[in-house]
Amino acid sequence: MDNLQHIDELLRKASQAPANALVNDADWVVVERRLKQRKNRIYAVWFFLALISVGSLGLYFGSLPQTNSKIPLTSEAEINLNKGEKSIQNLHKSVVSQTDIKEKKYRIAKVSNSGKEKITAHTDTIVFGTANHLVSDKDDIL
Amino acid sequence: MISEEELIQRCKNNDQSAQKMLFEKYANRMMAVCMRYCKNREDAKDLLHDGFYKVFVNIKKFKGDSAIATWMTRVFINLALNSQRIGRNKYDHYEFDPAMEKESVVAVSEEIDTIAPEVVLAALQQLPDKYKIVLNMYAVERMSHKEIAKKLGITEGSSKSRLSRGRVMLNTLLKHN
Repeated sequence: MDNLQHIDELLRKASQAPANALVNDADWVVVERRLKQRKNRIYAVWFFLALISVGSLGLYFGSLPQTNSKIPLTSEAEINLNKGEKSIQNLHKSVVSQTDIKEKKYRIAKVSNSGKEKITAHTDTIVFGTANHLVSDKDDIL
Repeated sequence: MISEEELIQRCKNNDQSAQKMLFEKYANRMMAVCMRYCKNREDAKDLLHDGFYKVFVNIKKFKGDSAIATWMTRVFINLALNSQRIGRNKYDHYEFDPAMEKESVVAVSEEIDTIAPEVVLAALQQLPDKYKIVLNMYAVERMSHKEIAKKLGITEGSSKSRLSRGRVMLNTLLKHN
């Protein structure tokens, strides 16, 4: 079969002839379209990855407990602010409690006679809006 | 005029105009490769599209060790072999007559210069794939039997016998044409 080696040469020569007439612009359009489709697929994948990442982060932070009120106060200013808030709350509570018709007040008062501090109590009718009460002679010494 | 290195670099950066220029420059040559590995023009066109798509997607892997045309040819051949391996290309049923084989031992070497390339390629396309591929790889791509055997997953002996039989069949076809 060695005498058929000229077939190789024949093939080599034939393969050097480019297929000029067979390629046209439509072939490039097909390749270009496929490249664009690939690019779009890549963009879509990145978009969904970003979406999933953002969604996951949102869910994570959303699931964290709200610990702002439990954080210990550190600075003096914050402590004072907190005290101020509490006193306002207390004042509000006292105003509300003083709307009762009758209530008994206990307070520490200095009794002028003995010069000692004693707990006094008095019964008084509270009129809405009057928050201040002075120790009067009516106070009962406990 | 843009140099080939610059053209390749621009293709690596996904420059569409450079991709088109590379396609226009090598499409005819690659179509000839496709025609040698495919049964008909439609299959060859499909291979051309797939091949260029793969070239542009993988061009970043081209290191410049060889000419771009050589690298592209390898890409096209590998693609053709893969598509045949997964059975996309249909094998034709060319029946080889043993009587013709005997007759064809008388070579056509005297007429070698007179045969038109189109006739040779048309005859090549009529060969069964297993002969055509080995003939192409050995004669045109100048691959050794060892390389062919490795690429096709066959033994070197099979490669040699397919080459020999392919030559006889092509010779016979040319003689009868």
